[in-house]
Amino acid sequence: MSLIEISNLSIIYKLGLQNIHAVQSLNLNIKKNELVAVVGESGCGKSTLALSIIGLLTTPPAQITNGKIIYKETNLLNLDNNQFLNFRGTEIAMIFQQPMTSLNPSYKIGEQIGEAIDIKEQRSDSSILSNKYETNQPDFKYSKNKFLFGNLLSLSNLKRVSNRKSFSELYKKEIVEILKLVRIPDPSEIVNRYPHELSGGMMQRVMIAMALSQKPSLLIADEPTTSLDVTTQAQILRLMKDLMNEIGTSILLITHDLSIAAEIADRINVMYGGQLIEESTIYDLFSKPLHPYTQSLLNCIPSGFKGEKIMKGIPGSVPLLHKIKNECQFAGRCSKVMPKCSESKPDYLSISKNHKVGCFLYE
Amino acid sequence: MSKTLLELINIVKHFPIKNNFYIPYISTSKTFIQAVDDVTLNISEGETLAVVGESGCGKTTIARIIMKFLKPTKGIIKFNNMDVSKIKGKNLKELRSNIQMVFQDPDSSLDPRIKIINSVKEPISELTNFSKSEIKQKVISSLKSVGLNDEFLYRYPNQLSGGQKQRVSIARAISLQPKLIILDEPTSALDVSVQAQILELLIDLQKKFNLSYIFITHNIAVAQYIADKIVVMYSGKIVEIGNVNQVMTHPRHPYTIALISSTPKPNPWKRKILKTEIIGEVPSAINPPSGCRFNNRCLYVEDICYSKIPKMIETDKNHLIACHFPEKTLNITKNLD
Amino acid sequence: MSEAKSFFIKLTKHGTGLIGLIIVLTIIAISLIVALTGSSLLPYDPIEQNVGEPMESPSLKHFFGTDKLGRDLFSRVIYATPNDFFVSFSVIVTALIIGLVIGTYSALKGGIVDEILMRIIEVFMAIPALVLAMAVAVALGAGVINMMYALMFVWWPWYTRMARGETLRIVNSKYIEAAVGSGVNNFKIMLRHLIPNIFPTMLVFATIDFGQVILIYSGLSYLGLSVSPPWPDWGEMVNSYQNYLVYAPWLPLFPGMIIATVVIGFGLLGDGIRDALELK
Repeated sequence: MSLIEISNLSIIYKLGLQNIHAVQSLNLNIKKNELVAVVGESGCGKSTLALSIIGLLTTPPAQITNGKIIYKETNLLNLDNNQFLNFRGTEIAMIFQQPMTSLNPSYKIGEQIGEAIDIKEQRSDSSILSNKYETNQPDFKYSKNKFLFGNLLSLSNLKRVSNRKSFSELYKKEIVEILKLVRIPDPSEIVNRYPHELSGGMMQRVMIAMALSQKPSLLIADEPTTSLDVTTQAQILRLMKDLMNEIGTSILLITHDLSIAAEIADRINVMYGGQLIEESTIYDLFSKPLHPYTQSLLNCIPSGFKGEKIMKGIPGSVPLLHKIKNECQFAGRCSKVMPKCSESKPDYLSISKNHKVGCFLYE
Repeated sequence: MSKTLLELINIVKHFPIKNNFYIPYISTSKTFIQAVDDVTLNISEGETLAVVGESGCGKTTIARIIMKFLKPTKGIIKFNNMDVSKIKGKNLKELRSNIQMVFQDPDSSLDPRIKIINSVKEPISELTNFSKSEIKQKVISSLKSVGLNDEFLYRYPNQLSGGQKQRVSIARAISLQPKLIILDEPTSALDVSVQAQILELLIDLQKKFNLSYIFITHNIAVAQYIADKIVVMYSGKIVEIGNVNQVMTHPRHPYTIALISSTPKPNPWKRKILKTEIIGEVPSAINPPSGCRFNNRCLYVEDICYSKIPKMIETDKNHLIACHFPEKTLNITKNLD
Repeated sequence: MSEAKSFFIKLTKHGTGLIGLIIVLTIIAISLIVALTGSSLLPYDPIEQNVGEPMESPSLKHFFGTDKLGRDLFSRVIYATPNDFFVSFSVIVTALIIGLVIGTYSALKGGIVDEILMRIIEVFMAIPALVLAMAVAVALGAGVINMMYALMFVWWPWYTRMARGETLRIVNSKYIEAAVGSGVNNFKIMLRHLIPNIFPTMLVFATIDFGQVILIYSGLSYLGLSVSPPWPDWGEMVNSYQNYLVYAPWLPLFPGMIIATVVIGFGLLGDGIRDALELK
């Protein structure tokens, strides 16, 4: 059964007079305890998709024009920001590409992790979820803040009184436990460091620690290892997969790297031009890629030695998404294009159990 | 047997850390950033040498030393068997017409206020004496070689895509028909499909113009795809060097083995990186550990590794590693497929 | 051509940019006309006394009224325009040129040259502009041209520092390295790559700064260091008429308002240029 089910999701960005159709009628579901990868090149809309699930899209300029995101029987798109606070961090968490920008440089690590723990535990008096919190802000649906915990830090700072205990003192035990969970060496020492004193890999571990501190059911990871070294990347990916099994979290992994998906994903979705064009188990995708874009993409991965094969690349460039045209988005670049590809859009159909593709070759 | 084009001999580069607040630029400090330590390598005509390593390994510093943007603290550079470590003036200009560079970030590689034709012609007009019309012809032919037609001549960089900008950078580099091109992560900032095109283009151009490449990358799969010879660097030192077959199928240095195991492969049936045993992180360049710099992460570490710096030992013909115990990795075979 | 046209459209899109542009163009026009034609096009001679009743309030005959000596204020204010404008213009242009050359070279060269220049600039900037200008004025003596030199002396460090800062932001760009790798020498790098890339920001800064120069210059002429009577100058007029603020407010207010308008006009224009060029 599904943990989260996205149906018919459409998101546009209003930029001046133009609309960019970043996500178009997207259907996706994630089950319990599985690692789903969404793979695509730049401009395909995968980050927009990720932000919309956790309600961190900046609206405006983004606007969700259609669709539902059903999580445990709640449509997340119907929640306003206050209601979403019951989900963000506790049920659904997210980590981003640049751990450096996700951590507040002015606060020690212990303080930031402690704040994450405080949301649920609410041992401090600056609780945001209690009735004491009043907002004069307009009822806007989606947070304007990219920082997962940015809202919380700024609000809790307003209520900070000088004799209140700091988060790192209140939750000392839990913080050290979480840091041990993400295998940070010397956790009791790291607690007192500032973000700039840590390496990229350590910071990403801290981010994972904060994200998983409340044992959420879904972790969204948006290119979590792109800025890290290869050896660090391997450690982080391994950590994520181990924690997934230990805690029972599902992971939605957003990446441009098919090889990373091959290493850790259970299922994979290929995204192009705001739409999903192929979905299957990870094994099926690599043994039987159906969509010509997927096939070309696999061909573009360098493998073998010099002179053994020639990579063809993909001619042309990604669609601009200003207009939704009634044709297959990949038609202009496809090596197997047929006349009907420019006349209407292919449906996204199940070709076999667990394998869907949107291509006229299979209709 | 093609002749040796470029040689780096015992190159060392230390950046002193200013510690004297009151008198800048007179540093009495004993702390240095040891960016590059005792690097020796060479490249022949028509060859591609891949320099592979993670952040802080010194690969970009090596590139800047070869391009003479930096002076090495110690060591000799030889080009065509001539010592070019200290050349200036006209000789330096001649060297520059033989060695060019392509950078990682396509956005900052081209002056945003200058038309493409003027960016590409800059090296030609500075380093040669051709007439204006000859230069224009050369620019057109360079752009054609990288697959860009005349309409790109008078455009500005912001009108081009990332892949197109990188092609322009390559056109600029080959416009003088140099002998050697240094490519510093030329495809890391590009989409996978664009990367494939650029790599193929580079291979094509190498055949066409008999170019030598020093290809710097952190991605060992790309290195394997494009290189004849591979140098693996770690924390400012060379840890392994050999031809691409040797290094990729029979890596002998524990770091190279870890690097290959950690690289994700497009093969879900042969998942390796989850079993990776690499621990720890790259050491700080300011206070590198004594002895072998990999000692805090190596699976085969022994006492001597903490005190004595390993020398380069030849394990096969022209395949060397910097390790005290090369026999420990004798039976490991790796495969990136 | 379309690039210039689209720039102009963007500039005038926002009302404030358009107002700034109109004010500035008006001032430039007036300056040029008066500089070329002298007082012949003015309704009255600016220094001739008793062209009207003394202390007359503004009327259709005398738009700004008259002063104690019966001189027409409107003619005096208009006649003083080229004074302020050309002095400020020269100061800005000189400071801009010096700043661009020295600032970019210093940032490019780095090292001890850069450090020494920064210390020199800091010394200059530690002294308030007006005080420093006064000190130079005392050394050189009063007079419009001397004030111009004084202001140039005071103004160049700011532009130099700004140019240096802007250059530092781009000096590590790869296209600069590529130029070095192509054998381009330092001066050509400055001219071809550095200055054109920092010029838009400097231009915006200079435009907004114009008002500052006018203010300081007005301050100097208020102190009597600039023109000598009976020639009119805005700052000097504010000084000599300030005692009439209660009884004949038009006398100090019109010159003062003109100063304020010009300063605001340049500020708005600078803002408009910044928006039109889409600089951050």
